[in-house]
Amino acid sequence: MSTNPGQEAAMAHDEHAAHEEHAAHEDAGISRFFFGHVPEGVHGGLKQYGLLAIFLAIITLIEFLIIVPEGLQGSGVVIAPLVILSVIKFFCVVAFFMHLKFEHELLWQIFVAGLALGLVVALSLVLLFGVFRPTPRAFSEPRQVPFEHHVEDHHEAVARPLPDELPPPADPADLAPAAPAGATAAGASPGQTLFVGTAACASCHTIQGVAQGVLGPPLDGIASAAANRISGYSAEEYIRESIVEPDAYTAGTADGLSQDYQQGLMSATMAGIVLSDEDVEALVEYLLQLR
Amino acid sequence: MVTITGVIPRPSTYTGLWSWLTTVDHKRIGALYGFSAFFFFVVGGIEAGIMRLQLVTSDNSLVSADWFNAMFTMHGTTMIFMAIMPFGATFFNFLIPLMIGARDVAFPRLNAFSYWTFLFGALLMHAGFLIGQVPDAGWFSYANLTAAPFSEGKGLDFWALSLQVLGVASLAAGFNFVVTIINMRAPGMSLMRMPVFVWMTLVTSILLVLAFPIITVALIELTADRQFGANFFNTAAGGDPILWQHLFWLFGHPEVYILILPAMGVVSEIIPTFSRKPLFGYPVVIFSGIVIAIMSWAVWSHHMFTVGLGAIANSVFTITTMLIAVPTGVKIFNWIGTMWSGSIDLRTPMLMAIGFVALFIVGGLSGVSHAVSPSDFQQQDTYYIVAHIHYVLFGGAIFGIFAGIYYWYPKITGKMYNELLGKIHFWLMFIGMNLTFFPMHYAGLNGMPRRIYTYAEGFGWEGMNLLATIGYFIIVISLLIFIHNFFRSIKKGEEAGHDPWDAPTLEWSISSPPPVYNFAEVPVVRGQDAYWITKREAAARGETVPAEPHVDPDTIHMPSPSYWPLITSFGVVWIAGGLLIDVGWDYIRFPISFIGGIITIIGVIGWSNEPAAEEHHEAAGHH
Amino acid sequence: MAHADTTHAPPAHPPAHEEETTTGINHRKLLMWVFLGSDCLFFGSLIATYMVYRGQSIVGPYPRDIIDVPITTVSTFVLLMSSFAMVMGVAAARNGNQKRLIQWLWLTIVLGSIFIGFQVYEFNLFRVEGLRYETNLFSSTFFTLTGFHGAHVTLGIFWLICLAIVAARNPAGRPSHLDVDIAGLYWHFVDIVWIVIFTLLYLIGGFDGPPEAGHAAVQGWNWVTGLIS
Repeated sequence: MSTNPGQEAAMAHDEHAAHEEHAAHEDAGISRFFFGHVPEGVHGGLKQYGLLAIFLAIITLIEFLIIVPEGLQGSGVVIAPLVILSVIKFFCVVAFFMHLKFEHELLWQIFVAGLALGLVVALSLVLLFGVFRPTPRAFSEPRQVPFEHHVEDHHEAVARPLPDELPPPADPADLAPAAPAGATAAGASPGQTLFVGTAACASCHTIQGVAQGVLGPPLDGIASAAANRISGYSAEEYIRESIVEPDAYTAGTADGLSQDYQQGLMSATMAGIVLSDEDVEALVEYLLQLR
Repeated sequence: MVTITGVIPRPSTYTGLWSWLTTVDHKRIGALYGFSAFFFFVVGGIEAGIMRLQLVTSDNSLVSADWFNAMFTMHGTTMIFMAIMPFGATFFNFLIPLMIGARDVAFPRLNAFSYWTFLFGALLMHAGFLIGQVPDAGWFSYANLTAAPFSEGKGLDFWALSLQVLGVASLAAGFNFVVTIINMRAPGMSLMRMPVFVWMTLVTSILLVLAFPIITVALIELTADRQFGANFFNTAAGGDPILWQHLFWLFGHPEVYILILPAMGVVSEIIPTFSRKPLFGYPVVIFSGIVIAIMSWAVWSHHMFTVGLGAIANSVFTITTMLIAVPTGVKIFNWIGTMWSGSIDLRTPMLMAIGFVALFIVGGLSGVSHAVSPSDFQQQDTYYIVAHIHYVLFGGAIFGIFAGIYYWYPKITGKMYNELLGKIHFWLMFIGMNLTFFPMHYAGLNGMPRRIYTYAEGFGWEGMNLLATIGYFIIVISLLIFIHNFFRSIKKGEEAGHDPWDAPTLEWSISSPPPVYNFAEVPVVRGQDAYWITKREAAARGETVPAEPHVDPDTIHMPSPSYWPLITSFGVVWIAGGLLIDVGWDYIRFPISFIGGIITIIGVIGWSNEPAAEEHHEAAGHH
Repeated sequence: MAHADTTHAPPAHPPAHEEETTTGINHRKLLMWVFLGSDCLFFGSLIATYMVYRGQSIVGPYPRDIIDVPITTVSTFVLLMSSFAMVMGVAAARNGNQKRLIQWLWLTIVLGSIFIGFQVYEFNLFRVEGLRYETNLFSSTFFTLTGFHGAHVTLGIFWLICLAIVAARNPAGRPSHLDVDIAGLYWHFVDIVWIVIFTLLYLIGGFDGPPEAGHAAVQGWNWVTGLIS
């Protein structure tokens, strides 16, 4: 942050100053105003400020021209030049229009402190939400849970009691916030295990005694409802399509539900979850039991 | 615009209720802050008592879970925003102009505006009690708990909007004190001659000014979500509740130092006075205060180790958090170094200050233990955290505040408090505090989660909770003794004289209580501990230094009282209050809120058209 | 004791050079700079929110469907020129040229109002095209950030109108140079905030679509590498 904005402006401004050289002799202010040390009590006038305004307008025009070619719109290439140009504009306004160049250095320090801190806060938030954020493990890939592997592969070698009676230690289950412990107890069908586990259905859907999600429609009695929802679809077909292609039909008040559900939400949240054909069949089989 | 100032004549009384409502005198505003802060300290204390009674034994049913939620939310919010912060403001207001040799703060009316806005904001927050709509999502109100579907009723709207109003008050005060300290020092008082308390006030004010915009934005986003259906923390639309945590703690960690730095400043004044020695390592104390302020911006995510920020972020914040303990430790060594081989006078302020140092060390150590993120995974959301926060905020801030109250009591009231009662207060509070909060370390490490409204028997938590509740009542008794001592001594205390402690700072050079104009003649400062220099030089000549003699107040040009700060504050709180009105027809609240905006604008216009000080007839000529 | 006609009293705020301060900086000017430093954090946090949620909206309309860069370039130009008019007004106030001051102030006010007009037009267009405050993350962050900027501009316009009226009523020296100067600082600050918003929300973010394939981490990297390149 310690770059002297006067210098930055100076570099960007060289051409203009050269063109306006002839005016400099009558008003020594122009080059000194922008680049030199200005003694107290000396101020700019129409000439200096007008020049700066033209300069700023030209930068704005350049910024606009940079993104006119369609190939450049939204591409990463233009970010650096655009940021640099707007930083130049920013400091020109601060240094000359706000005449911070000619003020007590304390004012610089105060403003730069706030500015730098604001920048650091914004940057660190962007980094924390972007680069440094770990990929959510549960949704990244379908996989066997390593702990289970370990138990299966070294069945004999493990001395302590085997976790038969323990709930499956699948971490996605921990991420499904409302899955009650009982849901994964012995006797749960493979479909139900998937429902509260790796498929993460329980994050959004409610089934009495199994899951309490609020974002998607409740699934109690879905087998009965599904049979009548779209004419020509059997319950099984409807449920399978709703899992595989959630956007094909989004349920809502028209189906007697209490609210309209958000179109596209399920496909977006399920984007990272890969279900095999057996998984889908297991889920369909489980949901068809909910009459 | 012309007529506005004409319609309401300028207040001209200097006694009675109106003089207090319209005052711009920093000492009166300081007193108002002090009494308001103590009132809310008692309110927050009662809320704490309800929680302690509920938790005294297992399976208790004194209050419902919902009310318990409301109690811990309001206890935290009240103590932090309505007790400790305004206690700090009390000292800033009363002492800063006196310590830097000024007649008032830079913007006396803005100062009045800060106070009234604070008071109205605090009352608005508590107005929720009247209609049974109390905030109940904890003092940091994590999203999604605050989302409209999960928090019905108006409680969190009260929380968000009142906190916004309190933020306006704090920002105004922060601006005022930054300018006052930078710009209104007496001749000769360079930055490195300022008393440490003034330094810490400057640092605190800068933190206020920089940290409060962030919570302002967070609260705007929360309010927008709740009132206007925005999506900032709405997971269904892709929003991320973690953003609230980041914004809150980005503000919240500097806020922790906003609470503790004034107390550190107070203690840095008291320990040299009662050790009869200049502060050991004055520049180092100041430098570490500044370093703390800067580093407080780099540690916020240590509140969020368990949300899954990833290994890199957790490691970085572990390191920065452990580093911030260094400047804090440096200060503690400086205080101990000051006492070392000093001739210590164990008066009540000194006892309180030593109590501060001792208890703050305990709180600091437990703090370092959860700076380590793996260790924090065990401690997160347990009573261990509760113990830590109370050791730093009760053992730290509150002991520092009481040290300050006793220390400056003779200056503020002109009377001396009862020393014996003061010492009893200290010992009872010290014992009660440790009895209340020390067992919480064990309860927490034994797995007692914070914020549970009751617990089953058989976890082994009953004994520790019983001790904590007993400790609470010991603290209550100690505070009753304090209240008695405070009011009795105002009436019957001995005359204190202007300088009972032989203190080093300028406020002791004028009479007690200080005259309305503070200094008849602006003092000239020739070094650190300015008043000690004056007194030592006089003593070398065999003289003593009397209090500055009184002069006729009319000969000194002082800011005049004004209605406009009060009116403007009223408008601001009306804007917030209007949005809370819920009468079924949704759009009624916007016009009502808009009226508040108009009141505010009228207030600001009237304010800016009114001269800061009425001209005296003699003075009017020279314009 | 109390004056009924305080507006005709001597200047409310003594001119800068009369006030003695430790640093030599006028109290109100220092206050304004501290406020501006503080306001950096305010807009910093709002911009951070926008950047964090950039490209995360799961339903449209997305910025690329709705942002009109050419029109906003024009309004950016207008706001920049208002800053120029403002600084000329400050210069006029310094030279004690009351007539010029009033002219420049009104030019600033008009240009600022045109900018607000553009914003109202834009907001309304967005509403008609289906982008309401509660539509998606983009709409919430966009309207909040630009809305608070617009509120700052509106406040500035009211402030300048007050100054222009005061100047018209008091041919002799009110408002003082300092009064105009401080209002100018505020006005320019609002301008530089817009410089940042224009670059980030329009020139760079104006072509964003739905969440891209890959995680936010990928986008974060792209953002950083784009910054470095």
